[in-house]
Amino acid sequence: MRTDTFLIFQRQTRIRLRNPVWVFFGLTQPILYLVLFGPLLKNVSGGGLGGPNAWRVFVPGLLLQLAIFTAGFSGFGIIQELREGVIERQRVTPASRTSLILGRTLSDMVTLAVQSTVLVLVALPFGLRASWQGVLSSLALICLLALGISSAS
Amino acid sequence: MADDLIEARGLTRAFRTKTGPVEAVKGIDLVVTRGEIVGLLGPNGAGKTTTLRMLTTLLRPSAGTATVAGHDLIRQPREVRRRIGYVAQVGSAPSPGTLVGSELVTQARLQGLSRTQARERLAELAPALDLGGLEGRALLELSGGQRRRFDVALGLMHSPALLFLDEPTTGLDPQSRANLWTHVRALRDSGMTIVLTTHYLEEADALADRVLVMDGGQIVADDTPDALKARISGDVVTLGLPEPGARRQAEAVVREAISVRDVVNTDGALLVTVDEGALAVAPLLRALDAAGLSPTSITVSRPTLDDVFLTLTGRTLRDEEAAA
Repeated sequence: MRTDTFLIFQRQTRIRLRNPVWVFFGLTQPILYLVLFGPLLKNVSGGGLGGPNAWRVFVPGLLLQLAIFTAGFSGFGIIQELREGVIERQRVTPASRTSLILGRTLSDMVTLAVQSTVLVLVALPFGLRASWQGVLSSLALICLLALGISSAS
Repeated sequence: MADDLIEARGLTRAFRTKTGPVEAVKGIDLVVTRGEIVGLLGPNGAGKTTTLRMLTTLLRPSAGTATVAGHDLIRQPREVRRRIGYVAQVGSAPSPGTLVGSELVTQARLQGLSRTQARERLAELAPALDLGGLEGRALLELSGGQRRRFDVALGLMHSPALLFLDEPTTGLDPQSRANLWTHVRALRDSGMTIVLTTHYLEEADALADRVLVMDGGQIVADDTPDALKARISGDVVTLGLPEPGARRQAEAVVREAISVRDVVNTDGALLVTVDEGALAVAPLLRALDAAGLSPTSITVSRPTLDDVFLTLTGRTLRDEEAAA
């Protein structure tokens, strides 16, 4: 089952990487959010939100939004694959059903992890100040959340 | 039996719809022996695909039992899957980013082959299906015929004993279709057992050793294409005779000379139905010649599976398509 999961994961990730448009948007989208919406926060005041503190609320918020959207839409990818007949032809192999879905969601999760890392790294020069442990544990939590959502969708 | 690759008893599948349950397949019995090509022929909605999907473990039968490739369909689906290849109906356009070679290798590895085995198999299978040199090509860039051969290759990567083809040539032009037929025949010659569905009568006629005619979820006939055709009606010899007097005279001569099933006197021609058209022509001509009659034209036509289908179900396939 581990091999099968890995095979599916490999296939999905390879397809994704071979799509230059997708790679470009996937990486620029979090940066655009930061650049476009970030400056608006400077003028928000009160509730401990003003100044550099704003990034501490905004960046985790963006991360969550990213996770919910990316993972939530992975179901649409599966619909497309159902239409293509990919799922069906994988279902006539002895591979276990769990690995067919797990491979896909893992691939989605890794994509998200990459996006989130980019987002956090780009946020640093803007003035995000956070502990390493905090960043790492929030990334781990985000990944877990994404795994759950994308399996459900 | 060791030589029966498929043995199904009372296979049934019902679907629940808003208007109540619909029985797509109504208790069919089916035996396929090793080395056969069996064609499932029938109009859309006859239950061909449902039958195939049950036999390939994609759909659980509502009732009935089946043994496929030596294993029980319901209790050992994984063992069955290991031994069968399945080529589905044409799907929608493939995703960008999928490549011929890597898709085939992934499929083979899901079937349990190692990476090296999968690569070797690809190197051997691609040229055999005229896909050599296309391994690095995106699926999106394949022609219809190439795409279909790629689909067949997917089902063959693990060298199954039994191959299911669901409407293999639907949507292909005549050349690509003839080309695919050649490949299917080559597979049979290599000893593979094949079950294919089609709604093209010529296809069942050209490929299958045995034809199962399905209609309304049941098998209405099961025989070789030739036997089916012979059962329905004999061959028809058409004699072109423009003169009514000559036609009447000829009818008498014909009935005298050979044993006929039926003679129909139509406008300008005499239609003689006989058991074996090819054998009847020579004596027929000699008798007509002796009587001083010379027909302007002679044609011998064998009944088509279209005629067979009409007789079996009371309608033609074309009607069905027009109604759908």
